[in-house]
Amino acid sequence: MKESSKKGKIHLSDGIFRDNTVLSSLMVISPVIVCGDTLVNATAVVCIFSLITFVSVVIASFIPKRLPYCLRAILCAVISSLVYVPVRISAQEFYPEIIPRLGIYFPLLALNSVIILQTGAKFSKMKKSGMLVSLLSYIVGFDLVMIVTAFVRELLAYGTIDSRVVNADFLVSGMGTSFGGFIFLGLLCGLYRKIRKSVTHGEDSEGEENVSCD
Amino acid sequence: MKAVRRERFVSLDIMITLSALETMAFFYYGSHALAVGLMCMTASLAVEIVSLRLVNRKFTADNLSCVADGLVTALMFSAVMDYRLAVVGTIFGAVIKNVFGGRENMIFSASAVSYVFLLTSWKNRLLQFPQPHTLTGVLDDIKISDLTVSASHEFNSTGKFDFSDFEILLGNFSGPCGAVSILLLIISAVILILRRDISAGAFTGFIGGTVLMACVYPVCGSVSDSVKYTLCTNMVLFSAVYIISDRRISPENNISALIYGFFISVFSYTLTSVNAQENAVVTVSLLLTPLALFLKNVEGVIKNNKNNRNIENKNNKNIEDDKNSEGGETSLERE
Amino acid sequence: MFLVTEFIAILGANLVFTKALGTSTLFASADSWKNLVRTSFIITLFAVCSSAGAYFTDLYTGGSLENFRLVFYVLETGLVYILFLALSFFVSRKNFDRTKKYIHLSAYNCAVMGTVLTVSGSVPEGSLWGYILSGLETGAGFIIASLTMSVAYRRLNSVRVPQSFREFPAMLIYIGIISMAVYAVS
Repeated sequence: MKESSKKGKIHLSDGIFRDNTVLSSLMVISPVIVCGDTLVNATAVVCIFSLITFVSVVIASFIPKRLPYCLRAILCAVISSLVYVPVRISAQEFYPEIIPRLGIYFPLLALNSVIILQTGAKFSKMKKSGMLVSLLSYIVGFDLVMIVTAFVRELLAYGTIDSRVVNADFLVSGMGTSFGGFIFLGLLCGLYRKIRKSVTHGEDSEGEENVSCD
Repeated sequence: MKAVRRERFVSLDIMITLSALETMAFFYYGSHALAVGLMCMTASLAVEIVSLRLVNRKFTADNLSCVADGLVTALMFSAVMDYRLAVVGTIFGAVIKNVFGGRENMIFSASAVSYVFLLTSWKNRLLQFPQPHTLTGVLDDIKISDLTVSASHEFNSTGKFDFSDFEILLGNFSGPCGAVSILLLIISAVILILRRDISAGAFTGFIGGTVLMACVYPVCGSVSDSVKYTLCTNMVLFSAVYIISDRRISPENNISALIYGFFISVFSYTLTSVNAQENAVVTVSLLLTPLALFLKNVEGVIKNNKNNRNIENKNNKNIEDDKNSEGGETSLERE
Repeated sequence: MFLVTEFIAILGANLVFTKALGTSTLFASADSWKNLVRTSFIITLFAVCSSAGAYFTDLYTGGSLENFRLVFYVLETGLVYILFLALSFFVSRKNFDRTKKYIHLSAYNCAVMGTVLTVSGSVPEGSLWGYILSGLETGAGFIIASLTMSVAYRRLNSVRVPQSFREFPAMLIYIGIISMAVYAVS
């Protein structure tokens, strides 16, 4: 029971911390770098990404594994592009300003590497229950990075949080550009690795202690 | 030991020349320029100490090159630069340098990174300068309305540079506080090249390329004026000495360094004359860093091949010596 | 001087430096010259063929079918994908195992799909050559970015780089600095 709950814990946190979608696997980084300059854009990206990825991967998990890799990849892409259609229509109806703001990254979110690559490489090999939990953790991992990046960059670049002006008198306008995104993401990635290393070291030494106690 | 000692003395020589430029800046602009210099040096040193601590490395005398980097950065700024911007820019450059492994693995010039970062984030503030002999104290308020564009900007836009040769040599025109003292820069260049503290190949390639471009595509009425003013404006001389010819960045071999310097001169001259971009040489030096790395890689491959050939020749010679000493018996037969 | 300004213009429109597209593929291919050449070549081919396919897609879809454009782009790129795999198999079966991984990597790559999506809005209709040129520009931009990365690859993976920043974080920051310089000149 303890082992299985421990395994469940590992699935949940993997996509968020141990194997974060953006910081560890370096997937879906272009929306983080280009669209992650304000919380408004980040929220839109997070909603669109989460919805499209979840629905597309769940549907794509039913694609027979016997099919050759290229056909599975094409089918995944077709499924996600079909899921994209109602999302786009809804966005046009309810949030029309999102589409010009995100530009080409809106449709590109429908063809992200989590859907195209990870569905075949990872998710389709898991049991459905485990796959759902793992998928959710990967989606949440991306969402967290997106929100944190957008929060910090918006504050530094524009002195606002979610378009509300904050009393920040020192602005770094470069943080709102793509190069600012690259550099910030690189530094965040380095920090993440440092923290992950110290946490996993701590867990390894704890495990060794438990073994020795047994 | 010899190489280690050399780097310390290189930094020392560079610091001496920079101190002369800083003194000149103090003479023209007052104690504010001095304070900016001190703050940048302190910020650079602090980042270096913290970075070395984080990676568990010892701070040695060689690491004091960071102080020189800080002062180079300060001398690229206006004499009345906002302290916060100066410190933030310096810290940014120093952090980037240490992220890539510090002075032992330098990819970009920390000063160039600081400058371009400030250029992209605070362009207006960076490119506003006081007139010479406008003394500003450490805590004096700086009115933006009292600042003007640099003489280089005027030259880029209009092709005119209304200063006498004497004024040009002594740096009596507005611009970055360390980049206008042309006579001091020339003397520094000669001293540093003769002491082999900077790359002669990169310096020659860059200056030669700039002169060639100014002759072929003059920006003034006469070719001589075009060459003279091109070399004296847009931080050309300053960058040639302290950024492009930096031995940590430029290729080792003089021919490779010449090519590197030449390409930078062509690109920066084009940007300055076509787009009227001020101080384009600093940005171009950053942009053409991959070229320097490529030339260094090629040098490394040539060196390795040479070493392998020398080892092969030595082995062949040893085998022949064995043959001669044993009267024709090979080592195999002996075994 | 014309060449220099054109080069700066190409850098300014570079998909990697300005739009962060194809960055992961860039990092994956920069470790050796062979990977670099093969990946760049295949991405260029994909970008050109997909862009040409996008021209015909845009020609026959419009009005009510606009929301379904992405589906058609995906289908025509999928067709190109299968075509390339088939071609690669029949041309050289010996090298097929090696070539197919580059084709798999490039098929729905951000750089390729980004080009298709960019060109569909920007090039005037009735200009197939404009679409193909856009694909070629993507390829050239990717090649420049790959060369830029490959020359620094060994240094970015050096033991002197702090372990937390070795490989990907350092590569991101390196691309960021180059991107900053491109932004400053353009």
